[in-house]
Amino acid sequence: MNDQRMFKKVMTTFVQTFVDVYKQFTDEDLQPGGLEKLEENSISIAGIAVIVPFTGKLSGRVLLGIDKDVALSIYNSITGESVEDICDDVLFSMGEFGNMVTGNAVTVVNNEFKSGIRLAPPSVFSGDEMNFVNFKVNIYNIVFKTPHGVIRLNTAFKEEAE
Amino acid sequence: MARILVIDDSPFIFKMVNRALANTSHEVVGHARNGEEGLRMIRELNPDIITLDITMPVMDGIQTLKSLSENGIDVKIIMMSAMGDDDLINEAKKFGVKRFISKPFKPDILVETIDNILKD
Repeated sequence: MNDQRMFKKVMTTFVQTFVDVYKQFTDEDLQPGGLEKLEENSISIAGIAVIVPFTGKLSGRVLLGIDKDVALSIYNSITGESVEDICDDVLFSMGEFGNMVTGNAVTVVNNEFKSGIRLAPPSVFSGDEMNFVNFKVNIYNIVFKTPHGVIRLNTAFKEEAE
Repeated sequence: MARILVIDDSPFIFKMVNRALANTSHEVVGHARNGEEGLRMIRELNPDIITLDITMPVMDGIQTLKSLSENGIDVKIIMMSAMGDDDLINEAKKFGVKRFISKPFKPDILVETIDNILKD
């Protein structure tokens, strides 16, 4: 991303919308960790992974890595249910959570920069050891600690755009 | 009382709309996972209102609005999406859409919006 003002706005917006959407889902406050640029191109996730691709003036993807207990907590909080293990309903809810975080953030960025970014529907995966390998992207990571475990917000932008 | 069709690729949203309307006089009559399925179900079920997502596979929300217009299908529409930038809102307005709900939504906002659109 050549435009550092846009990059800063994108990242701060992603963090803020993440905090806001999580608050609306759970009524809990979150403190984000610091932003780090990952040098390696491989990411390992245990639990649930949500991928939301986006294209436009910026293209790339958002990858959320969500601990199982966090996913269950979010799902039970918003539905009032007492689900104890990961099932399709929980996975669908996490997909929508990722869609809302990304969609809300992109809305702000589009309105400010007329960037025309559009999302693709989210994909959701679950597993105890999932490895994601990325090519030709710049990857930024922020960790959110919740009372139930950790969520990683991992954004990747195409290198050409930087 | 309104009969409502949910057009959204997320079963979770369908579940949440059902929960929001459970103790109201409104009835959720079906769930379509994309615009193409939605058009077929509108013809079959003849709902009073559709809630319409934007980002969906096969046929997205804006394409669905275009198809509804081209086919002369008259139904009240509530756009319900995590995406809501000015360009998308203006595009939807070209097709006569007046009601928008941003996800995540609160149940009372959905009920209020349905009650208001019935008065339009």
